[in-house]
Amino acid sequence: MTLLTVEDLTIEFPRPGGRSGGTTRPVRGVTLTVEPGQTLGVVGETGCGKTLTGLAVLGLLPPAARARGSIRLDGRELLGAPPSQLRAVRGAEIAMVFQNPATAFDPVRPLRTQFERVIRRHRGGSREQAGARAAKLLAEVELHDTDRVLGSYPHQLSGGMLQRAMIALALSCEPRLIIADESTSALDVTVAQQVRRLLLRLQHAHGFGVLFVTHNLGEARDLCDRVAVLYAGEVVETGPVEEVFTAPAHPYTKALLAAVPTVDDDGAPLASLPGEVPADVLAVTGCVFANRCPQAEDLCRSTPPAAHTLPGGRSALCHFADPEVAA
Amino acid sequence: MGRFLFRRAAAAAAVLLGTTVVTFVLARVVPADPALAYLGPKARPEQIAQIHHQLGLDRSLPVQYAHYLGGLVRGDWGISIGTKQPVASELFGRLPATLELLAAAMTIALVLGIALGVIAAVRQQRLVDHVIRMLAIGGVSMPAFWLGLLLQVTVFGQLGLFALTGRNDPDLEFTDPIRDITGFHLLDALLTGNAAGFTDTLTHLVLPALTLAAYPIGVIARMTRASMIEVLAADHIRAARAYGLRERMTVGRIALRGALPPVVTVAGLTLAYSLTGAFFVEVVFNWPGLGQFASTALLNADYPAIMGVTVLGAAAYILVNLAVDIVQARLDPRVRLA
Amino acid sequence: MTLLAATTGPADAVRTADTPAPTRLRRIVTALLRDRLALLGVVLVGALLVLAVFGPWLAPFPDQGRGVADVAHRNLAPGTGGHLLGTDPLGRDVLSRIIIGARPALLTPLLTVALAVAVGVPLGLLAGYRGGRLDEVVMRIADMFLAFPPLLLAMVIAAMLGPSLMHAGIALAIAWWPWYTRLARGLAAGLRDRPFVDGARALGLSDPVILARHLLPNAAAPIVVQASIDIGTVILASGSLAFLGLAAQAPTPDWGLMVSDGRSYVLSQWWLSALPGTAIFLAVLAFNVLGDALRDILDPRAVTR
Repeated sequence: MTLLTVEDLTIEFPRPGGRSGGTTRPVRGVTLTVEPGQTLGVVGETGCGKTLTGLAVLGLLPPAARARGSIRLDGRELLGAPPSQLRAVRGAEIAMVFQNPATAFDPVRPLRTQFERVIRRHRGGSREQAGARAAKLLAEVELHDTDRVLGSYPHQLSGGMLQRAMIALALSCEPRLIIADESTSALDVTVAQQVRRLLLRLQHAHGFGVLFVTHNLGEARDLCDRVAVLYAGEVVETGPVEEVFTAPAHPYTKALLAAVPTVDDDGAPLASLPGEVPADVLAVTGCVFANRCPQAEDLCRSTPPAAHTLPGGRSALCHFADPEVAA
Repeated sequence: MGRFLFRRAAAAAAVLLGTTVVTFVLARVVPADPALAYLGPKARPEQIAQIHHQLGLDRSLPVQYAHYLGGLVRGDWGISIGTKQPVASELFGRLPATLELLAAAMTIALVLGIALGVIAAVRQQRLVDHVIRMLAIGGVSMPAFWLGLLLQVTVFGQLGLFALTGRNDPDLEFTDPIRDITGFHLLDALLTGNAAGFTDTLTHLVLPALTLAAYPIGVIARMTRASMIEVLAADHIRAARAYGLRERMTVGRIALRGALPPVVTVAGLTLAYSLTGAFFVEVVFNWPGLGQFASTALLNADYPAIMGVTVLGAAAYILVNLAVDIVQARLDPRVRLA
Repeated sequence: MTLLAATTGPADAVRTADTPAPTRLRRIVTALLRDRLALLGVVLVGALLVLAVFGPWLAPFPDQGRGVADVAHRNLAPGTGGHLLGTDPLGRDVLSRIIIGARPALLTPLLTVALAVAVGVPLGLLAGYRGGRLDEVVMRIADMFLAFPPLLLAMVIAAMLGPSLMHAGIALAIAWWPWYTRLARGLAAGLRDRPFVDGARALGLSDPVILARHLLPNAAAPIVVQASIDIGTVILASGSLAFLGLAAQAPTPDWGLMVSDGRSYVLSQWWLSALPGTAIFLAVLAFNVLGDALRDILDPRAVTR
């Protein structure tokens, strides 16, 4: 059974400063699935709606936001579920690993207190039991000096150590889904690589599914089974990561990949995408990518495309997505 | 922590020494001659010279300052011109009354101020928030002497509640006298099981304490609100929610705890401010504390008393600031270990 | 001169690129008018200024307002005999005394803050800019004054100088200048090593010119905010001095003094104390609201003091 299903998710905000009626929709009609034990990469530029999608799954959107559609964990609807029920799911069944571990921990408490809070919240038990579990988890993320780490305040530990601790905290109640939001972006390259290996190893051991939000395509390729490319709040392409990256079906995916430097580069200049994301996507009549798309035709500017299903479990939101491209 | 404490205490001592210099200079540069204050305007020159000699005014300024400083340290703060009593015993005898008033006011201010600030922050931009912000800015704009009079007119005059002036009913001395243990009447009455004394003290304490609390309530509520809003938007609060912690834990413990350091700082500042504010409340409510003595001394150019009040006020102010630093270091590990 | 203009550019560029002067003023004004609370502050301050300037012509009984007794009309309750706010035991119209009292009540704090700024800011800028021994000496002296509760210091100085409105103002300014020195010193120390200051120094401009033309404009916003908030605080402080009898003396119409004089009659004739006290409250409130709004607009990152 599918672990997480996000179906036709739309997130709406009242337009800042607008008196009435005006809204923005930073996420529109997003559909995603995560299978147990698998990793779905959600990739795209800053502001494409990938972080909001992650927050929506946790039910942590800002108070002003309104979400429509469906978000199901093991078939249970989470969107619109009562807050107390969501709180019981968060941390226990879905856990989040944040982008900046240095600010995600409470700065005025030692790590031990923070582990105790989460573990005792969801599993009860004494402080000692929670402390023992925390020590075991830290050992599992290869932080072996557990007593010192648990007694430390966040500002006393390095970013890499904190991110490992954050992963241990995420695992503390054996969640089945982990949402990792740019979890390595704030780390040094080598430390990030270690953290990625750790995540893969833990996933292998515990079998949790991962929703991996990143702007780093190389990272997505390393970690993910499937990938969903977001542009301006819409999923423009999904499919198995290898296929999508070797033979992209959507012009935006092509452009993204062309902008990434690779080791076996033949020295060709990196392509950069001209133009900008439309300021008001709701005012766009056709495809939202049309103004930057090298292949755009009149049809693209007048009619929004529908998602084309392609062979190999792939789909693309483009009038000209070639069914043959995957072949 | 030990080194931190020592450094801060040493700095505080240096500043305190500085304030005695300022006080001494102030008392020496004023145009009026202290001898005239003792003797009256018809004093003969030889009498004035004699007083000058007695007070050491015929010696050089550094010698006079050393003499003054030595006196301060020995507890010899001079004789009050107004009451003809030693200034030190006048001041320290009245200190408990003022401290009791301050303690009551600060307790009210901390409880109400933090509660109002948290409510406003959680209900940001809603009606409650606007009402609390109005109350807070009103609180910091009120002259204490005016609020005290208003409370006397309305709560006592119209409703007949609490007491108009004084610290205890004069009759209490004969029916249920409060035995002096700590000098805090409320505490002493409680310790000796003096129910009548306790009620009487409380009745007299409510209005002046509320009056004195108005300013700190406003400042603390404003700072709590601002600090809570900042902390509530922080990553670690979002993380606490993402880990399913209950709102009572997230807002009431984690966020409030994180929001406390600046609140402690302003609470300390307002406490120091209220040291002076108490003067006015004491005058309005006829409260037998330092402020009453000080305001009389100020009006009558009672120099020894004024100098004593000044040094005591500065010492208290410096002590409060030192205490704030120490509490701050305990609250925030980043300060402590820096 | 062209060279100068071109090379001192950065300082001005920082200022003009971010906030060209007319637009900035317009932005402040629109922001003030949009916030309803701030608007209340603007209206109150405006009304107070009108009273302060035109008080003697607006007061219904100007002579009594200034202190002339009228024994035929003693102790009238508000609203009787044409006395909207009643009369005092000497038969003087309370409304007239409040209106005429507006001028000293506003003028003293305004002049006090101006004096404190005029002394404190240049000293602080110089200390922060020069650093070293001068900084050390200036700041240690300021620290000595900062170690006293400001109102207590003002009360003591006023008492020692002898009670009068002038002395009260001087005393308040002596108590307030070091706060501006500390603020300006911090701002100048932060600006000292910025490239546009280095540039000005490299051109061989004199220190006073650098302070006035390059540091002051960039440090102005926080100082203006602080001063606008302090005006409210100083109105309160000078009212307090007057209440204790350390400022204006009878029969001058002074709000704090009126509150004090009315105390003996507080349960029978509440208006004698309560109404002039309300005048102080509204004046302080007006400047506090305005100061808060200015801080939100000019210095949004500053924390409430």
